[in-house]
Amino acid sequence: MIFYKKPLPKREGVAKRKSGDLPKFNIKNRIAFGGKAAYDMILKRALTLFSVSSCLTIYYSQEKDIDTVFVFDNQMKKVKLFHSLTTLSPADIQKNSSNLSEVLRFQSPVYIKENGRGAVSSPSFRGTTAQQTAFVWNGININSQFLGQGDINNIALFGYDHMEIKSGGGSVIYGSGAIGGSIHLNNDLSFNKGFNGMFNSEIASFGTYNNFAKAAFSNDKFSFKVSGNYLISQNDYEVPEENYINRNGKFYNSTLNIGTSYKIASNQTISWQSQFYDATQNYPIFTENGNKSKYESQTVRSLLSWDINNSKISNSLKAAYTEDNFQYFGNYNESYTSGGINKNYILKNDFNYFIDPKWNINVIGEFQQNQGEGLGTSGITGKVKRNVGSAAGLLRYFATSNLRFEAGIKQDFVEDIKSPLLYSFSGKWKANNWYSLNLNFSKNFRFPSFNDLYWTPGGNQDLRPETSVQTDMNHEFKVGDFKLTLSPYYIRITDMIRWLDTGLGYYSPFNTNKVESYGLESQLSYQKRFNEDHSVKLVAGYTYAKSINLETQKQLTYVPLHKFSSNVDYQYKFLRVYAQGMFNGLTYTTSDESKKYAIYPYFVMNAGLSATFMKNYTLGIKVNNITDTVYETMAYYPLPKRNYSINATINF
Amino acid sequence: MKLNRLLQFIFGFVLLFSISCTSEYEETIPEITYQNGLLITNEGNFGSPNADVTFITKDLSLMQNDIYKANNNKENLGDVLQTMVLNGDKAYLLLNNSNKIQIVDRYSFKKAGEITAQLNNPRYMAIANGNLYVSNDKYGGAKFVNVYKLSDNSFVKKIDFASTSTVERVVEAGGNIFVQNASYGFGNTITKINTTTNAIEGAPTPMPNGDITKTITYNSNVYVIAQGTADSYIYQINPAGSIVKTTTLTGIANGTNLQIDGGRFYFTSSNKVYSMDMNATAAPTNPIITAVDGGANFTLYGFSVIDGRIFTSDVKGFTQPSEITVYTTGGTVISKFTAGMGATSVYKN
Repeated sequence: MIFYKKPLPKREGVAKRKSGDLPKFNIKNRIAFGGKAAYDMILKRALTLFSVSSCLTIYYSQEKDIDTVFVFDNQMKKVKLFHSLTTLSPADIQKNSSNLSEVLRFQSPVYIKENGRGAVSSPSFRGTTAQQTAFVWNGININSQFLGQGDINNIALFGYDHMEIKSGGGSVIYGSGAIGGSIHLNNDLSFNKGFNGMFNSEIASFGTYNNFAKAAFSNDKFSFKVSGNYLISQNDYEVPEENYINRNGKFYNSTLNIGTSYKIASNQTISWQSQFYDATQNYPIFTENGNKSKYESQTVRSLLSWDINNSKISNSLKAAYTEDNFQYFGNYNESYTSGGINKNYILKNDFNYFIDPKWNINVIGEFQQNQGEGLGTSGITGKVKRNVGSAAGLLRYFATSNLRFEAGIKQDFVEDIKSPLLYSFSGKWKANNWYSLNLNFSKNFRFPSFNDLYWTPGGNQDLRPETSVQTDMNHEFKVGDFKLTLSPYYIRITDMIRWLDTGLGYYSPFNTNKVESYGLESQLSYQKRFNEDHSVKLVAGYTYAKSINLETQKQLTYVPLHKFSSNVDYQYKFLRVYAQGMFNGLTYTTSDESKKYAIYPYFVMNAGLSATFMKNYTLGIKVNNITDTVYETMAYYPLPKRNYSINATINF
Repeated sequence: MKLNRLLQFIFGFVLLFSISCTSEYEETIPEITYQNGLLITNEGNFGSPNADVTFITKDLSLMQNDIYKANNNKENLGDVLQTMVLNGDKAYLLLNNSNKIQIVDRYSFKKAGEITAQLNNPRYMAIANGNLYVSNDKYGGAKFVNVYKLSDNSFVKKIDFASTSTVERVVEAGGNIFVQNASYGFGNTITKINTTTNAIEGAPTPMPNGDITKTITYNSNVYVIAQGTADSYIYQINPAGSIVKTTTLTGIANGTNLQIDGGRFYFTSSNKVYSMDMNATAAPTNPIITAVDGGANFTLYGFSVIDGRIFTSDVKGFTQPSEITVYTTGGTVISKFTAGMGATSVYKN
């Protein structure tokens, strides 16, 4: 009974295009989409740049994009030298515009457990737990300091320039929680593009309205971009087969993103990116008279970056401030019953030096102060804070243009917590035109959250971080316009932090379970432009995830053994069609692998059609769950059946 | 690729998967009545509507899970089945997080009405003087006991308690209602409600030692078990509301789960089960059962003693269905079976 009245800090208390392709390919793409004139201009710029910063360009020739774009996450292009990432464009994100959960569900290998559309949601990447996926905003880890996990449906969805999905360990660069993988929400700023803007409006089923506007201006020295959106959904969908009405399911949120960059010298920029996000989310109830509660969150993220890029030396100095506040309203119509305030001050320096064209050394130092404060009945009583420092070194060796290695090491200094020495090793070898091999081996961690440490009662200050030792091997085959990637992986996690009953009337976290996860991630992609009028793109991914609690020898709950997702885009002149299909295999919801309580396999398909008129006006229609499938990702919380949306976009 | 070829491809795709996704778990249930057997309440997971009731025959040979769902068009019973009361031909199922009391025919388990008026996080129920008394513990708010008329399920009255008080278990003894002002091992008083005036009568009765963990009724008397860190206590309270007898359970900390059967007390402490004669003065030195420790509050989450048999429920951390173990009063295992999620109490039907 005790577990019920004061539930665990649930609240207080988780297709595509591969990038990292050769630069030639990028240029080709631009030709394809920008026409001959654009190509000439880009080529000219490229040549100028090649001559100015020749060395670096040559070193990074494998991926070096034309340097007219400033990217906040400066590690990302280096990461892409060794790892295959899935990159989603704003257009891809727009296909699943309800929330981040849907984007990841249909366009990534991640399993997303969602308590009804738009409500509480958590990820499982490569069969790991919600705390073992890192959400990274412009290079900054934004997992909740209270929960240690990303609160997916309370992460802004609109206004990014790229979303990158990276499988596998990444703690050396992206910090705590990058075990199963990481989700990167990135902004960039272009130069010399003049003024452009767009406005998008969408009306969808269940009283859903979304308006998004974006404007950008840039010249050769200065770039500015602002975007914002407001999304509201009554979200009162019904699933008669399950006797389900999504009562009290309303949510709304608004986002404001502002980014600016200024070239203070030929090779120096000062850039600033901020995000303001406000969200309200009601928690669905099962019966008319159930207890209505809601959740509100306010997020501020601000990042200042000073970047120097010389031929041999580059440096990025960053200062950031992030604030995550939330309030839980145990009684819907009254003032909040609990909540939290989290403020983080971050200072980070990333120094990169080419000893010679083959050897590159990279040193990253970071210092953070995390402050937390509980509100109302929160178990975080008063204020808590901790200082977190880290030093990381990476050595990269470019043996030949087809063979390269990277070794990384990192030590974190988390106040009062003993952190393990982390390491990573990656090698990439392009054997021939059709086969390349990539091998990764790393040790990663997730350090205890504020709730794990300081929750009263139960907080355990003797916790050690969860650690993982993991490896994956990626085989990439290219035949014609097809690309197939097969990535078997193995992860062993020790010291998993689990909240257990103490027998004293409350729960407490302990380093307990050992978990072994292994499986296969695979992706098949096909991209072809037949002629001026026709182009097609297909990305299909299949994952097999076995995740075993070594004590019980059972599969972890909410880790489907099989997941398949695919996205097809087809363009014919001014018409675009896309279709998404997602198959989710048998998913256990209880720790004894009970088939009775399991979620049975399902297939869901979405599709959309859009037409562009007079270049700048686009009208589109989407049909989600065409198959009218009754399905759920969290037991007893069905997701919507067939639903529709229409949208209009104006570019100017 | 032509557009229609693409569509063909897509539909082919859909067909392929829709064929492979039609399997569904089914339990086929023959028509039976639930007379002369035992009902086990499974409270379910907080935040999930998976509470239900298990039926098992007296000889433990036949069992059926989810009998509410099975008899009511697959409808979910609700969220957290906190307690059940049997009266006449009806069963009253109190659903804490659904703010609902579902009334069913106790022998067919078909729906026979419901109470929702004025409920706010209801906890426990008792019947007296033709009325149903329901304690309510609003999240971070008011504490009160509601009175409903059994004849038509209508709301009669709300009896407010001090905001500093607690209302938890409600029992009837000698025509009066007694409310346990203690929950989660905190609180040490019992309040009497006069069922004629439906008002609180007198000051709450404090227990001299320990915090109350459970309150039951037996032979028109109230029995309370209170826990301490070294010793625990069983208090007998008469229908007038006075403590008439105290049994000190020397050396037994955290006593809870009091049951009375065949003139004997049964209670638990952590994963141990004790038994003693009601008239004995010395506490038992050895447990009659030491259950496998699956977490102090999980192993003996449910504990009932009925007609010389002990039923314990290990809720397995609420991550999988509960395991019920049936023992003789001497502590010998008779049977083991799996009920639903979070099994609590066993009732004779």
